[in-house]
Amino acid sequence: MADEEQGPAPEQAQEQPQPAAEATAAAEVRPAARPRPGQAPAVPAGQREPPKPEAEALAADLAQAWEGIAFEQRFNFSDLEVTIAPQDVLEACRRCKGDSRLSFDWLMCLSGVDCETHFEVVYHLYSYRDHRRLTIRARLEDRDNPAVASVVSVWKGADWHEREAAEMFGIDFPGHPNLTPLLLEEGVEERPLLKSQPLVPIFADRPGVVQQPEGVP
Amino acid sequence: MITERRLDTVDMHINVGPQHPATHGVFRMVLRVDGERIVDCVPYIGYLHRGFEKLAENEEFQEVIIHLDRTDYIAQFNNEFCYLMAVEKLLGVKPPERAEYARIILAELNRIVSHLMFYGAFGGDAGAITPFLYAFRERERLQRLFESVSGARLMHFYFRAGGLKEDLPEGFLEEVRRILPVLKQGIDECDTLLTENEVFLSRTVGIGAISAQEAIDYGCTGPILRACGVREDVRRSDPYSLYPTLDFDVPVGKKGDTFDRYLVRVQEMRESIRIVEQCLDRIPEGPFRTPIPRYPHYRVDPGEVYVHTENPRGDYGIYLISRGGVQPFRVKLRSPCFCNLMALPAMLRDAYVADAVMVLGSLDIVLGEVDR
Repeated sequence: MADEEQGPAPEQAQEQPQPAAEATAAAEVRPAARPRPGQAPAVPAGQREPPKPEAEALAADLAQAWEGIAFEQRFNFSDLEVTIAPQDVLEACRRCKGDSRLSFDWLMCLSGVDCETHFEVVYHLYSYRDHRRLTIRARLEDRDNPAVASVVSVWKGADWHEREAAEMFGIDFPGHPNLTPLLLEEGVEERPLLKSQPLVPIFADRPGVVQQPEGVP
Repeated sequence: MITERRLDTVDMHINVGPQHPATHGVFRMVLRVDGERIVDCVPYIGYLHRGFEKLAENEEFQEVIIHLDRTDYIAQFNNEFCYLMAVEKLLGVKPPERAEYARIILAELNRIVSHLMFYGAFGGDAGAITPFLYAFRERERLQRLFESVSGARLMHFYFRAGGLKEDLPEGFLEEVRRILPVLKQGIDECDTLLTENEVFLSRTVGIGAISAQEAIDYGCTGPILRACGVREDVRRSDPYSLYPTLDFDVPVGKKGDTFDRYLVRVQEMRESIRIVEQCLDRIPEGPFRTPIPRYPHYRVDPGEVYVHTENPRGDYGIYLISRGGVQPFRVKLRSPCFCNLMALPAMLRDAYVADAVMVLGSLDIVLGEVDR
């Protein structure tokens, strides 16, 4: 069977199996390969599931409650996700919590993301009343001075998340009551989670830090 | 001549930790006190920060699981469960039914282990040593089971994308079935040791209460929120895996104080046993892992997903971004203790200094997860 298939193009058929075999052998020997750009799948991962009816209803509510705020929307894993400009974040979040059509009373998660070309701050919201989720994404195009208004005045739970994003990425959150370092030691100038920051010990050259001897795994 | 003099008081600062048995890890808080009353509390965290999120960006999807065991090191199966659901969502893979049930059994048993740990430590905070020994006797039964499953007592590394590392060991399910009635009896024994103990009640009832509104505002989840009377459980409200098919109750408290948090956890252990019993009846024979191309060095489709699960300490969330390589682009861990701890100053307001230890103990923090 295999011979018959290889029949029409013998040169190619002889060449093809070799790189494939090499690649698998290499993968076994050298597991930690650098990520290479993967082939884009026919359907993006987030669009495999159809939007939930709640998410579509939420999109309609959002269009009314967010009057005057420009946003782009898409459905990701059947939940609604919107992208807005950083200057609209505070007003948008206020309405998300205060507007009776939305009533997102819980800020599940606030994450900073270094997208290499720009920064993003992503807010994952949840409504205990309606049991629905919303993702708000703020694009911070200014890479040198990334800043977005603090939402601590809306949800107190944003406090430590914003402090973490500030020290890890250098994102400023004007309006935050106490934007001091949270997890890192005092005096750390590096922003550890930036993509430009290599994975090396920050304090390797400090006095008192014991260097690992050569040859010890 | 005797003149009446007004008593001037000056606020005093008391430092607790970072190395202190009552902080359950390396955690520091500075209490500002007026006499015996706490005026303000400032928590300091980060002593156990290991840069999990940075490490995760430099390792393959499979290797990240190892670090997740080390975030919340008392509920390892639950952490792995959450992360792998995120990976599987991006991969578009569903684990076989046997793996799903095995995961739920292990996660629920892990919840019991975690709550037993809380129970023992919390009794210790209140000055009772005996409950600790009883709790650890029960915990040991489950730890032996976990050891038979993964070969390790604490850092299991057993769940894999698409299922499990290997099938459950022979006789495991029978052993779980044998242990459950013993465990039930053990939990009842623990219950009688502390729950109606007068000294324990006087140290917990009405202490460190927080309103439901405030708890939601701070992002408190899990037993802290349910103790306030909010019947919210991710397994019910945003269900995942096979939880929608399982029958269990979500216990809640009334006042949101330290005692209610304790009581909610004790009841949750019984509910977990109920879930495990149902899973034991239903778990089928069959494959334990769905094949994935190039496993274990698989590529994950570009995309991003936020998955949250109900861990023993609350809502454990993973925000995972992939750019189509073998390594994640960004992993953000929403740690339940991190958010619950934010509400500590609100809980300690106007409490006595001696109660600070009880309130902190009732949060059941694991610093490995707070600091990541």
